[in-house]
Amino acid sequence: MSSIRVIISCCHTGPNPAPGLGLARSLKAGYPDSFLVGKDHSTQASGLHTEFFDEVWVARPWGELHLVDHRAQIIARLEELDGYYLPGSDLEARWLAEESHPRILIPGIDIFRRTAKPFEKVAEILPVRVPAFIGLDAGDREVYNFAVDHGWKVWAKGPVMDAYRVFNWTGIQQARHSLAACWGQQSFFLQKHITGTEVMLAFAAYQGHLLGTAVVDKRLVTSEGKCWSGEITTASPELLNAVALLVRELHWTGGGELELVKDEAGILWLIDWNYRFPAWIHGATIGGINLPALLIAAASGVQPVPPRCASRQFTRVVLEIPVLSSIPLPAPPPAARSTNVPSKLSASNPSGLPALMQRLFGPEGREATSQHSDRPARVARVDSAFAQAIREHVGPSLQTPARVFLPKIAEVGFRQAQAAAAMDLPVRLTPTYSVKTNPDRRLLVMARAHGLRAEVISTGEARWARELGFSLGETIYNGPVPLNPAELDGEELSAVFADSLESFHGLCDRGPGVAKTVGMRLNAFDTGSRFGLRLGSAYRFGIVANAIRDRLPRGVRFGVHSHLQSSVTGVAEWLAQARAFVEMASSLEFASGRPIQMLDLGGGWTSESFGPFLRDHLPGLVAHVHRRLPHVEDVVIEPGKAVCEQSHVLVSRILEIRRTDWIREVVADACLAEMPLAGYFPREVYLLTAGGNLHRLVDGFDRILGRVCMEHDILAGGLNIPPDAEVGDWLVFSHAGAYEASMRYTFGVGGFHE
Amino acid sequence: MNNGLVMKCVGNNGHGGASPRAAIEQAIVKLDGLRPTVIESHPGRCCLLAREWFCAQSRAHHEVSGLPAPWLRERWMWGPQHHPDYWCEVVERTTIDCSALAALTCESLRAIGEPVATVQMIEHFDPSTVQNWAHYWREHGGAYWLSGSTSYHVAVAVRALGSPGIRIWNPTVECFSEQRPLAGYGSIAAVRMLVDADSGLAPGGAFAWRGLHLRANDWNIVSL
Ligand SMILES: [Zn+2]
Repeated sequence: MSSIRVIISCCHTGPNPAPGLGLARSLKAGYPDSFLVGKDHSTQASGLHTEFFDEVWVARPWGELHLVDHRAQIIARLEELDGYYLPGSDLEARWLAEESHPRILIPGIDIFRRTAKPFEKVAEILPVRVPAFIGLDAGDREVYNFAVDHGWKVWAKGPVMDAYRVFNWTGIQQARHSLAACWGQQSFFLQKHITGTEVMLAFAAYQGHLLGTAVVDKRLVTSEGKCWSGEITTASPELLNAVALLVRELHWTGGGELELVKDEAGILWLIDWNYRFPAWIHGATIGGINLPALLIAAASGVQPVPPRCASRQFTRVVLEIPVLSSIPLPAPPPAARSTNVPSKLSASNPSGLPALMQRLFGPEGREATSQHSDRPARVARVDSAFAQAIREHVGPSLQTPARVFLPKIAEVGFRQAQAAAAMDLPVRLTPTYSVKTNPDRRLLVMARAHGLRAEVISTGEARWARELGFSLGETIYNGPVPLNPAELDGEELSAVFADSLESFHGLCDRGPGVAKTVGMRLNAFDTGSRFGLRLGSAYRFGIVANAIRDRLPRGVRFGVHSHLQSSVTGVAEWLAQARAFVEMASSLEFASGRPIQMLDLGGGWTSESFGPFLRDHLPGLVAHVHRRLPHVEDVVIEPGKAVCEQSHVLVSRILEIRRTDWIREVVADACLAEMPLAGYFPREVYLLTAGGNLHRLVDGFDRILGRVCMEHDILAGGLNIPPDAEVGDWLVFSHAGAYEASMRYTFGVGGFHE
Repeated sequence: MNNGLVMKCVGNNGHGGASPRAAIEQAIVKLDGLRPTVIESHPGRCCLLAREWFCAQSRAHHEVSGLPAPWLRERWMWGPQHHPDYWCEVVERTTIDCSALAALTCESLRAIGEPVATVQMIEHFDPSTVQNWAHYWREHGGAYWLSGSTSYHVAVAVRALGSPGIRIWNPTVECFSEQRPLAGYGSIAAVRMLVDADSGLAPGGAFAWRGLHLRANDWNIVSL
């Protein structure tokens, strides 16, 4: 028998292949007379049926195995063969590392712990950065704000593997649910997405000595982003030295892969780290770098056939091959079998690896943290001003559910807007309060007291604002409802923006006197928004430019408006969109010959992002507007949510406390009718006990259910409800002062009196 | 036996017996007179509005997606067209050729203040591909841009950030040409960058690309 004998696991090759077949082909290239055993956990593992394996070993799927006995089987077979074992999955390597064996060529167990995601420790050695991240247990509002700050270009990631790209709060909740289903009560995190070119670096090391590296430059990828064809290149000397240092530091044995992204500035970001050779490893062998053979040579002392570079480029192919008669395919699955399994692994791998993941890390796993009752609740800091406000307003006499106004907290946002208007800017800044967000009298009075103007979307709102002291001359009217000036007793508005060309024509036809500034809302650039005039074709652009030139009455100022919610796009994207809007406006000014004198940038900031926006981005943006549109006299911003979302809290009481398997659920006397946007964004949730203790609820898996019999009436999740919570205690939901207030409805409380 | 398809056997270079270099030189002689597209303007407001819209879109796209913005290829398909081009016509077309697309790309980059130059290329394919293109263009001037197994193509040169040379952006297939092959099917055989002395892209009448030192405003054979 050959002197080189290797057991290779994970031999399935599909659109998301395991590395087993590539390892076998590379070892056969390096050691043509080697004896290779292909091991997997299903006869469906397609690579087992190829000619590269001298023997196949089909074990039961991971979910059916006695794990301790299976480890003994592997070691017995290794000793019988006097060979080596190369696992093809991180999970199997992780499992095997718990009791190491010199002939299993994998990193030691401590390496898995020292290099745990999100890899901050690794990045201290490698010349790479780790994208910003936040633990999913940091508090829902903090997690949400992190996502907003990064423009919703974020991934929810598990502790070892599994990553979900998420685009909104619902996505984060779904990802958290899927991760918890697989991994139990582990730490998950949200990480910034990095845009750039992928750099995949494979390496082989033996006892801390780096044996070789190869980098693939992907040319064609599958829908899952897996390499289908590529070119083999070499790592930069800097990266090479750093990998050598890291491997030495960690005393690494086995294959490995770093998944990096190089951004436009040339910075390398570490995205993932694999503890085994990648599936494209034979592509490197084709390119003249046989890393598996280098590893076996280092372990055995037997030198391989020197590699030959057949081509720096490689491609995968799809081949039909005969199934081995000794390991026939199983029966087809029942037609109705659900494929709704929460892991990406499951769809592509017939060996049942998710079961190993659950057995190692899941709710039942040895590595899982202990059950609910033993788990200490993470203590979140409660802002003292907030605590004082709550204690002032919440007490036994409060009829719940109740929306409670917190004037001192409400004032914060208005003061920020007032301070911004007083900044020394090249153009006057006019903050306007978006009345629709919450037309509460107290908020409008406060807005006026802080010098804000009113922004309205109907004549009804305009009259309401006038009643509370805003003259129409300091009120801005926005569509989509075309303005009927007769409803405002012919009084002149500060500005009116048409949402359509038809509406713009109508305003122009009325001549001067409707508003000092007549303008149009432009469709947010390239977003598919339903609002505003579209300038996506030269034809439309020409029509709009000609309408401004030919129809806008002389003596009326011209303005443009665009609106995107910063909380949806994130600040960076919002700024880019604002600058794109300025460019379109600039060309419209040139083509129409009418100077733009008012520029309305809309609103949509969260209360947390508004202050930093005003401080860090607004002055630069206003200066940019002044450069590109030198006739602009007023830059308008329309904060709504930013100034009022924290003005109210919703106070509810616990009606019932339920314990299910390992989480706790409470039923509150509030429901979606009082918090209609519960599923769309998170708020801070507090528990005020009868004894006066105020806890902020974070870091857990418990839920607060609404009082009505609707499936989606879930007010909050991801909480840890402390054991001392009792029926009758108060639950306080923050951020209940914006659309939560203005869009509330009556539901589930009895009949109507017509 | 040679039906015009690429054969895998060693020695067949798809040039019908001529050496690759001779075939490229032959192509240069034939294609030398081709000039890059210039999009013209009518005297009225039609072309002024069309061009202003195009520049506004270019600047706005640049703000939201950086460089090079993918909007051109999303808007215009590649295919044969009649020349000459006027601004008010080109913005209404759905299909334009590589030369018009390169002209739009140049205009788009100039709109954001990027130095840019037209790069004419000769690319190597095979007789079957070239024959098919000749048919496709039969009603649009025929094979004036084809020679043997090679074709004429137009791309644009932009600054290579962080290094002294240039990069060649191929707007038709939306890729930089630095990693394209220099031999075999679809390879780049020759390049000619048309550049003004003051553009800064070719100081002293020469420029660096892929480690090669090339003459500006002149054909350079780069084929391996
Ligand atoms: Zn024209």
